[in-house]
Parts: sequence; C-alpha cells; structure tokens
Amino acid sequence: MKKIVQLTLGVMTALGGFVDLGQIVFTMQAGALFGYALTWTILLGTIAIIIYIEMCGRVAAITKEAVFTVVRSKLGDRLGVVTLGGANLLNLLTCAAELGAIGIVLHVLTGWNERLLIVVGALVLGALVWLLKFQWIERTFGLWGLLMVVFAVAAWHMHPDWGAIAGALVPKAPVQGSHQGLLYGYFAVGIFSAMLMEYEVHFYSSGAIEEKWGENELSENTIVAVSGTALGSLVTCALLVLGALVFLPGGIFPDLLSTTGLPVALPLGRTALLFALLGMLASIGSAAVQTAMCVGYNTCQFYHIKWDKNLPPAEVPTFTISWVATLALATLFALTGIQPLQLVDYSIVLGMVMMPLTYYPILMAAGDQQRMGKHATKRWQHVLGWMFLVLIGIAALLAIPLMVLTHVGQP
Amino acid sequence: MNRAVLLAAAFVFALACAGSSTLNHEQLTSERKRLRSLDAEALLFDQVAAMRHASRSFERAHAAYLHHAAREIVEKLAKARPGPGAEADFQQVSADATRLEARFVALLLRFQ
Repeated sequence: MKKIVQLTLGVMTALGGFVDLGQIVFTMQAGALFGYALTWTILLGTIAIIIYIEMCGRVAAITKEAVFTVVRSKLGDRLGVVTLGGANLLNLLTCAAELGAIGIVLHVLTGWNERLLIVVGALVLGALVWLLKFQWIERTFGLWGLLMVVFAVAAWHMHPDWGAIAGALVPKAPVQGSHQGLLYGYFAVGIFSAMLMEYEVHFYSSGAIEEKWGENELSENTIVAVSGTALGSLVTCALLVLGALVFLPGGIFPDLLSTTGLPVALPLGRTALLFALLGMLASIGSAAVQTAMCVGYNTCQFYHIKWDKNLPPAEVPTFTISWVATLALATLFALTGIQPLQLVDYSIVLGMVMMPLTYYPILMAAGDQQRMGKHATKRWQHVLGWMFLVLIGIAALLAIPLMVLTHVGQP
Repeated sequence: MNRAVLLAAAFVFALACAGSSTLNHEQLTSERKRLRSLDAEALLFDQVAAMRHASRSFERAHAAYLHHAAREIVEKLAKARPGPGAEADFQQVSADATRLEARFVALLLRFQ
C-alpha cells in the first residue's frame, strides 16, 4: 500500500503536468479534426517524457540537484537567466489559464459566479499548498486526479476501432489541402509539446529532493516515471478517441471547456459527468499548483537559495513569496476575463520554443560520468535522449510559424 | 523625431483599424465552420439533456457558453466589412450567425 501511495508523485506530475487544460481541449480537438491519425504523437511524447522524467529524477537522487541548479551549471549564467525568466513567465501564464479554467469547471458544477469561483479556487489551492506537507499535496492531487480515468472508461464504452488506433501509432502523410496539412502539423507539435511541458520535470525533480530520494530510490524513480506517465498517456489517448468518436462525425470543433464533458455524459450519464468534471478540476488544479510552486522552486534553485516545502513558510521566504505572488498575479490575470483556452494555446507553443533549454541540460547532467558515476545514463538511453532532443528542437522551430499560419489552430 | 512621428502614426492607424476588419472568403469559410460546429454541438447537447445525462447547473452553464460563443461571432461580423467579391458570402454568414444566436437564446431560456 505504501508503495502504491508513493506513486502519487508520478501520477500528480503526469495528470497535472500533461493532462491539464491545454491537453484536454487540444487532444479532443485533434481527435475531432483528424480522428485517430495523431495517436503517434501521444506515443512519441510518452516515450520522450518517460526518458526525461527518469533522467531528472535520477540526477536529483544522485547529485541532489534539481533542474534549475543543473540549468545554471550547464548553460551558464546568461543563458540560464533567460531560461529562468522564460520558464517563470510560462508558469505564470499557464497558472492564470488553469485558474480561469477552474472558474469555468466550478461554474458548471455549481452555477455560481465564475469570477468569484476563480478567487475561491485560488484561495483554496493557496491554502492547500500553505498548509500541507509536500507528500500530502502530491497524494491529494494524485489520488483525486485518478477520477480522470472516467474518460478512458467512456472511450472504452464507445467501442473504438482498436485496429485503426494501432495503425495510427505509425505516422502517416498529412491530410489533403495545405491548410489541413498545416493544422495537422500544428496539432502534432501541440500534443507533443503539451506532453513535455517544462514544469513537469521542474516539479518532478524538486519533488524527488523534497522526498529526499537517494540511490535506494532509483528503482522507484523508474517505476514512478513509467507508471505515472503511462496513466497520463492512457487518459490522453482516451481524449483523442472521444474526440474522434463523438465530435468528428458531427463536424464539431470543441473549443469550450464544458464541451469536453459531453463525450462522457453521452454514454455514461450524469454521475460519470460529475466524475469527469471533478477529475478535470483535480488535473487543472494540480497544474495550477505545480506552476505556482515551480516559480519558487526554479528561482531558489537557480540562485542557490534555501527552499523546502516541508519547512515553515517563514524559514524559506523567497520560495514562499515566489509561489504566493505567482498565484496572486495569475488570479488577477485570470480575472481580467482573458480566455483560458487561448492563453493555454499560447503557453503550449511558447513552451515548445523554450523546451530545448530545459531538456538539453538534463540530458547532459544525467550522462555526466564524473558526477553520476555508475548511475550515468546508459548509451542507448543517451542516444534515445539525443533523438528526442533533436525532435524537440525541430518542433521548437516549427511551433510559432505553425501557430501563425493556422491562426492558433482554427480549422 | 521622425521615427517617433512614424510610430505614433502607426499606433493611431492600428487603433483606427482595431474596431473593424475586412473578412475575405477564407475567413468567412472559417466563421461558417465555427457556426456549423456550434450548431452540431447544440444538437449533441440537446441529446445529452434529453437523456437526462447532465445536471441542471451543467445544462444552464453550457447553454450560456454556447450562446456567448454565437454572440461573439455575431458581434465580430457586425464590426467587420466584406472583402472584395465576398459581399454575398458575408451577408449569408451574418444571417446564419444571427439565426443561430436567436436559437441559442431559446436554448438558454429553456434551461433557465
């Protein structure tokens, strides 16, 4: 039982990390436009994130260094500061988008005023982070997020064509028409990017240090990285399948968050819809918490300032002020009425552009024989890591042109 | 000095253009697709509601979001002008948008 509960770091990282607001809507839109055709991007993203999550957990366990300590040592001060600034700005934007989405989900659940619910949601999340030890934060969101499995149940219930899904694990030539081809590219890059959002690895490696992982936890690191990510991927696949089965035949392009509940309500009914909304609340809330906390983690790690969620807030003032200020600013931003889905679209694409600056230092640190000793990355892992880094680089180059050419993914 | 004047002129021009835009055939096709998508989504939503597979608060909130989405398109079209040769298309899309918004008002009232 203890081992199962320990998996919650992986589950929270995966469900809050890549099954957040952006992924929920983005993946359903991809299914609605291209059926199962983009399943291969989920497979690719899953392998990539498993490799890199395992690496940063291993580096944290052996060297006791989290991602932003590594970023500074591998990229130097100047490029490191740019990476820190970019990552924190992205975290702020993503946090604001997630808080806006919390307002929508709570409004759909209760019917109360959406703006009031954004404030209530932010206050509740802030209180949870303030009051709970790190382990309880991850357990709360990790276990609560399991409700997202209802999307997989709904997809299973709708009898998808398993052969077609398996066939779509191999990339095929884009669909006809130049705009459709560009859209296909945009959604491929977007799904891949949403699965690799930087704050996942920032949070995971910080969590490994919060939990005082050492050499003995290396096998747990592998299990947590694989199982948490696999669960997140299963839910992501289910979202794609539901988009393909429910929205594609009717020509529906789902660009409202509440629309994503309909494919669960249709086959499974009211209780399942409630579970889906509560599961979304957990995933989105988890993403808001992770992004806010990561601003504190990143800043403290980069400047070698003391940080530890398990210490009283007054003993780690920079960390505390950073995450509280991020949550407060994000709340104000969300209250301006900005559309959370548009905001998260931008943060996914901009995140893709910043991604090589996070993943390159992790790859280098994990392969460093001097510091990692016998736990340095094996040759095959290193080759695979490089292959994915090249893919990340290509996607980073394509992200903004595709966003502009497709008018942010409009069909 | 010259650069400052140019920047100021560009800013004024951008402000002047912000309120209205010209929609060409491609953009109108995109708006038409959005309208069709909303129309189809309303049918799906009706189906879910008829099966009593959603709570009252979900029905009320979702109907309001659908109406808001349709109204945004109507408002966008009201502020826009048709591009050269796209007048008939523009009229058609505007009429479709207005009809859909009216339908969504009825939907909204049904779930109040």
